[in-house]
Amino acid sequence: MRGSRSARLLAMAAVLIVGSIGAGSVVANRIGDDEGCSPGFWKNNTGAWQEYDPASRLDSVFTIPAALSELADDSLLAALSFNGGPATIDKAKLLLHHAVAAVLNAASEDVGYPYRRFGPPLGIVAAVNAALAGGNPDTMLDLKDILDEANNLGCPIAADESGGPKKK
Amino acid sequence: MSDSCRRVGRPQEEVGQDTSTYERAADGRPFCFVDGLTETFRSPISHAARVWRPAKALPLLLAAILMATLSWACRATTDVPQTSVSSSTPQPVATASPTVGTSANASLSYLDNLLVRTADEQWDVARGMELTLEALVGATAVGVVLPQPRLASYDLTGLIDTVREFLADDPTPAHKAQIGSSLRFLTFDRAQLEGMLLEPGAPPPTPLKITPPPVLGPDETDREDPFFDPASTAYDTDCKLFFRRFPLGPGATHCLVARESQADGHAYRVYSPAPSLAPFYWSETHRTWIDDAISTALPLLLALGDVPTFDVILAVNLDAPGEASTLLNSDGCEVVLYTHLQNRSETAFKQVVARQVANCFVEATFGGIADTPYASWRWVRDGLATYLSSVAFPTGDVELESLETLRQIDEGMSLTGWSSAAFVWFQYLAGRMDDEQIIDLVDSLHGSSSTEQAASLNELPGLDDLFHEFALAYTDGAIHDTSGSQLMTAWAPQDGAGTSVDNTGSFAVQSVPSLAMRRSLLVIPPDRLAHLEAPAPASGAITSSRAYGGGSWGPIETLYPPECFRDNRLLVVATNIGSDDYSTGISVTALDAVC
Repeated sequence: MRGSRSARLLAMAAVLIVGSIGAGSVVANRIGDDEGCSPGFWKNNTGAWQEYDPASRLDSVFTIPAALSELADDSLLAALSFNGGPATIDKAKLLLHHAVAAVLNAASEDVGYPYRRFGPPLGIVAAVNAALAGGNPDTMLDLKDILDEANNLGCPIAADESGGPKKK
Repeated sequence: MSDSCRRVGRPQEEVGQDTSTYERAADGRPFCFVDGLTETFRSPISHAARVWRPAKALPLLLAAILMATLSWACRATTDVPQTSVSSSTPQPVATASPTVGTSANASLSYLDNLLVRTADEQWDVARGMELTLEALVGATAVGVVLPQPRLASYDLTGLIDTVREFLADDPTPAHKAQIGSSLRFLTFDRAQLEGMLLEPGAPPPTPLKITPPPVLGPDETDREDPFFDPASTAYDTDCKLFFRRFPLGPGATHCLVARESQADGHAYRVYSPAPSLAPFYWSETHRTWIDDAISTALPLLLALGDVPTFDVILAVNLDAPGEASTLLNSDGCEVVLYTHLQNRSETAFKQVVARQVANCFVEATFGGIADTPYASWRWVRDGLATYLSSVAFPTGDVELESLETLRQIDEGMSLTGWSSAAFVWFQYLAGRMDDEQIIDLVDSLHGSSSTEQAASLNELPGLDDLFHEFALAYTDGAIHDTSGSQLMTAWAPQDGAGTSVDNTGSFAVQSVPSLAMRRSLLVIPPDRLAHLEAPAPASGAITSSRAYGGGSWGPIETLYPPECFRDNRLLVVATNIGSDDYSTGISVTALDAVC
């Protein structure tokens, strides 16, 4: 589907250097290409997870407000199966469903994800924390849509039920 | 050696803290002297409180140095055994080392934790405040500040007030900048609140629009915050900080709504984040609970004293690992509720609100106390407010959460260090007098240091007896909550704590500081009777005893047990409201072959 990760990074570095010399300004805030794996992929391919443990609690990654404390001890893997619903907490679950996939994408060396976890672009963790904190369901759904789109850009990792994932 | 005389812990030369004295007799038959928690939880808080200077003008940095010095000095003095002990002799109760012991101790509140760690020289005052406030605004992990996972009280009032006192007295610009920057996230006054209100008639603000981060062209600079829509309205711009945390500074406005309410002739406002923007999970239910709490607590408080103008603010600072604070401003009292409070049940929620309003009451009713550093009177400020909140909401039981911690630190700790857990003292008084008399009693107190406060208590007729009776009831677990349930304070020695000594000796009941109690267990060999001899206590000090298994309290009898094969363990309680530490001892002589 795409070139190797190292080749892409090399190309990006070249762009940055040229841009710095030519324009004297920051030229890019996207750190990868347009790749992203869906929550369903991460749910079914835990062997492809990098940096994170499927059993880790949600509150080890995100700040869960007191009003949503019932979600705090759910695992990252469980969050990938969250569904929506009418209440605010259901919107939060929808957001977390995609937020977990987003951090897995951003953490993966094999995925050229457009957003970073801890800084621009987006700053996934801070953005999710802010949306959860505010308690406004519309804000949560806005962010969910952004992550949903990124998580469905296309997954470069081949699902492999029998062993670990393989690069396509 | 009987099982109950097992010695646990480290040997004296390693620990070096015991204050018991005894002399080894020739026949080697053991008595046990068990002092359950004694020095294991020797109170660093009381040391800190003792040296907390009365004058606000005194730089607290100097106070910290003084606290640390006196803390060390107190240890150095009290830790030295009063008589020599041979290395082969089994040693009295082992204790934790000072450093480990104090830092690992449970703390009652963030303020107590600050005092402990400052007195322990782990922090200087400024650094401690800086770190604690950073934890409260989410810039530092709470675990960095608290050695133990839980506090007995998450009322931030004392901490914030003490930090403000420090900044008012400390001329160091760096401290003002660093500590002040965190403090701004937690404090505000009425003028600020007014400034943050939505303008009358203005349309409600809409949620901040989140847009995907833009893909920038080669000659564009990165935006400061691509998370928010750059084409946002003034509301959005002003409320960015609000959305992230609490609104601060002149740029953050128009993010609050307020509702006027009234109770018992007192008008107050409940400020909330604009629900259309980001409600932070505050709901109409919470606002109703607040009104209920105030309408219940206010008549009680107004019958006893004054309540200044106050407001309630539903804060949005999710990072604050606290439940509430009361900001004691010159233009009124601001009760701040943090989102962690949303975890409480309805009754507990209301009790916390009542406690915060009671903080306003204490500030307005006791002028002398209000003019002294918060830390020195926190036992009255927090303890009385906590007690009054339990009167307003007897079944809330929030106050009971401090009992477990209190039992770890109560031995030999001055009541002035009991912080919010001092509600137990007021609860006991409530069984002996009405609330107006309690208020009169508090009103008659004065002084800044614990010894001065003890002296002012000692001036009141009969207070030594009253305090001693409190200690006995506390030891028996016989004090009742407002709801009628027994407070879990009954004394029990730690498992295995104790040491065996010989059958003849002089047993120190250890040093009892001002306004403190000390419980000790004397274990007679089961087949013996013993002669006991206790000197007359010093002024303000009282000693009582009873069989450990039960029975009534009385003076220490000359013969114990009264009959052979009766309960051979004698529980001794010593109290002191004198200005000086009280040390006494009991001479014990076993009678051979009596039984």
